[in-house]
Amino acid sequence: MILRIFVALVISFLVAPLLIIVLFSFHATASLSFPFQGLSLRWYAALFEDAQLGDAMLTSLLVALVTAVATLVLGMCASLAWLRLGGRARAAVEAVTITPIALPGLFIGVSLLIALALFQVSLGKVTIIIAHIVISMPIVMIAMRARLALFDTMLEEASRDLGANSLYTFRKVTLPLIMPTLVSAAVLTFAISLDEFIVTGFVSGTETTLPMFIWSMMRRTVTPMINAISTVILIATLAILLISSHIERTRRAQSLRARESE
Amino acid sequence: MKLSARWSGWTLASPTILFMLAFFVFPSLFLLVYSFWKASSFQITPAFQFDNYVRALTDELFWRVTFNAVIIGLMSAVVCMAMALPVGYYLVFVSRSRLLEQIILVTWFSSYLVRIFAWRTLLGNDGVINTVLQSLGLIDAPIEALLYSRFAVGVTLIHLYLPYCIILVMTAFHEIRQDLIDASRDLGRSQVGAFFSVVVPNASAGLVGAFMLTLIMTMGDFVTPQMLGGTTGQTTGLLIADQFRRTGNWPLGSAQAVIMFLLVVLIFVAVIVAGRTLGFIPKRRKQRAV
Amino acid sequence: MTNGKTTPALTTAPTRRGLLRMSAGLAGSAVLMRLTSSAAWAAPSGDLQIMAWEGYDLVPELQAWRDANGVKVETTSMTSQDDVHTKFMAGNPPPFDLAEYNQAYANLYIDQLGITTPIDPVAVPNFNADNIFEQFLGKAEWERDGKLTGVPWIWGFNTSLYNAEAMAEPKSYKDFLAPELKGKIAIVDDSVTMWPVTARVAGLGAKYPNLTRDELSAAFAELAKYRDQARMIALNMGDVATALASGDVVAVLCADPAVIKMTEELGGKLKMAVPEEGVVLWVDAWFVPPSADNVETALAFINEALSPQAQADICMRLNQAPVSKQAVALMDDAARTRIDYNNLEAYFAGGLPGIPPLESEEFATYDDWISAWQEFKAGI
Repeated sequence: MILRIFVALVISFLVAPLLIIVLFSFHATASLSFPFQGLSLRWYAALFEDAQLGDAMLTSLLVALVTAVATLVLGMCASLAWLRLGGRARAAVEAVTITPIALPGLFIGVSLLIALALFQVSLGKVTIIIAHIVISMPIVMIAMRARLALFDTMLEEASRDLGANSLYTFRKVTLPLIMPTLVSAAVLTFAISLDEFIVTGFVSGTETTLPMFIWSMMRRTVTPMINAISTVILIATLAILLISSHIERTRRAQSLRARESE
Repeated sequence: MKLSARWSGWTLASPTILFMLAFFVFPSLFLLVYSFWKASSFQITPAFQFDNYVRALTDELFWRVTFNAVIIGLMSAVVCMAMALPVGYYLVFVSRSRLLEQIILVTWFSSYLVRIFAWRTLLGNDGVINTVLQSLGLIDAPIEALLYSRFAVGVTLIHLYLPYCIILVMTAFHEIRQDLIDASRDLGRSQVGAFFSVVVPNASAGLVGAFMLTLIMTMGDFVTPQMLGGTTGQTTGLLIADQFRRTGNWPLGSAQAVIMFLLVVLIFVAVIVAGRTLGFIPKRRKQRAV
Repeated sequence: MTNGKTTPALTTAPTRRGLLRMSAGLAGSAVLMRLTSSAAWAAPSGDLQIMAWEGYDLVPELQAWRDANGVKVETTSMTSQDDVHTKFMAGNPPPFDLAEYNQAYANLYIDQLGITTPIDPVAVPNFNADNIFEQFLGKAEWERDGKLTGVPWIWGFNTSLYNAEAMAEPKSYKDFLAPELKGKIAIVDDSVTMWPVTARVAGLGAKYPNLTRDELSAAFAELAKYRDQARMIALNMGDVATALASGDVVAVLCADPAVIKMTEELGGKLKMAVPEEGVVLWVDAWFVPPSADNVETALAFINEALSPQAQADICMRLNQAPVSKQAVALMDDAARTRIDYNNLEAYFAGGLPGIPPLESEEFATYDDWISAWQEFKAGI
């Protein structure tokens, strides 16, 4: 009982500020403090009129999409490799892919900045994507590793012994097994990239992502427009999470049914 | 067969390994190299000298802001863990509520900057907390210490990184088999007893990892202290970031980053030693990374 | 890495600077050739990457010009002058076509770092004696060897801003030390503004930027009293405006009067006061960095920024002063009377502040000031 109350308190601590954000996104005036002076949709209207915001949004979506796909492909290759490799090699793969999670974003940001400056690489969307891949790789690898620990290479070998080529084996045996994990890792990566701010600031050059745009808004006057942006993202995140968990559940149900019918 | 598996393994791994070498390992090494270079008024020359380290380590400023960062980080990470352990336990062993998990994920992914700013709305003189307390007649004048203080920074950092911490704790708990807990309950232990005798030792590696990762995040976050810390907002992270963005003394900034990294390692070792002495971490158990 | 082991990331190596200058010179002469060889000046178009203070990118003022020419301006905001040179000193300067420099940084940008390129006056016809106040023509801050290095375009002074409902008008910075204001004032983290103020509160204003190390310590010891009064060290103008509007602070020691408008937008009220120690005068100039890849449009942008109407509009919006004489007549009464435009010499008589020397035995250097400022912020 005490545990349940405690959990409820913690969850409300997490959620309350979000409710404040949503509430003020409907504020009738430009102020972000109390007293609350009535409801209005003006900040949502302002969202659609702001061309710079639109650009930043597109940049962020593009970056997040490419990051998610690239991390997914790289992470998948690495985790399949991890499956095939022996102890020491596994450790090496883990060391280069998982270590970034143990470093502050600042460290990754400045070391990338130094490297890119040394090689005179100009900063832009590409460097933002590179940075985001470095940050998301550990999360994909950790998720994949947990999944693959339950995976048996024998399945693949059996499939090949039955005469299937490796591509066929991959498509029909390996991929279905790791697919749910890949999808949820990709969703995570997308969300991380969309909200990343600290590292991005070092490698963005003249590009403006959504968080960078919000940051630059804070340099002038902060209006409930940032709350409106945040509310839209919140709803989008909710939708993505619900869809991905729905997909996962249907898949699980499907595979259960398939197993039962055998 | 064995040989071909290894060969295909390396082929599959190579793009990722090359990518991470190029954009993570080498840059980190460059940072290390850079920390020995020489900088004087807007000019940087390759060198091998320890001046940057000497300067950083003998500088009162560096220690002052680092102390600030460590205090802020430790306090936030400890509170995060204190909140995440029961919640994680509840979600893994008691309820398994998907809804609560989703809520936690949503808070994690709601905009970092906007959440920081929301806390200004909550903690300011006209903020929610002061307004509520005043209308209840509990206080006469707004409590000014709520905002632009270390308290404000701590609360906000906890809010920012608690979801992350809960997810890490849950991952650690998932590795424990339910039957271990059932067995311990069968032996007559209470829920709390089972928690400390079975759950914590068996999940210790993961829990230490969760604490350390949360600490690294809260200690390294330089935006929150800057926005909410008032006159106490200077941390090592900000000092380092400013060497790169404003002062242009990259070698000194690199040296400070390396020192900060070593400090994190030191804290990690201290946590392990403390955990072993207190008996939360079983001795002679192979530590696994998170 | 193009030139092997010696490439520093922050480059002031003579070879590289020379190269940059040379290429800038080439670009300049190419522009000139196109000008002289054919009357048809290539119309401005395309994307313009600029780095400017928040609100100083002339978004509303130049909308018609941008629309007519199909120019898209992308702004990266600066929060301090340091933002600019640290970006350009890196081995991979971002391709900005335009950026701003404060007059204090003229020598550093032009002579030491070489991050300005000569501007062809023919492409900026609005920069002429009929339009521009003489205080901005032919000055060392914006010229080298008879060549324009930057085009001054807006000026003003940073001064004390206060909420008149919460406190009396401050006559001196010392008034902010009143016990009843403890925990109620803000200081902005902007070294260009705060360094001269630091010297002034210690009575060393006349010597700035050349203070000995002892004087520097004394000045910051004095400024520390103001930090004890302060509730926050604000990140930037927006940050301080938010705190002023919400009533979390009632005054800011010294800041850009553009904060007044920002605070009003958020429903707050703010007034300007001129402390007896004096205001901090500044002039911002546009310059074209060597990395620019759309120089023609950049120069056209500068020219438009100097048109009397744009000058009048932005100065009314931001509470600043125009460099254009003709703009004065186009401004409303409040803006026109804020500054005595018939007597500008009085404002510039004391000269414009510079920055501390980069290297010096006798005086505290730029690095010394940076350290002192960082220590001030950290509470030492």
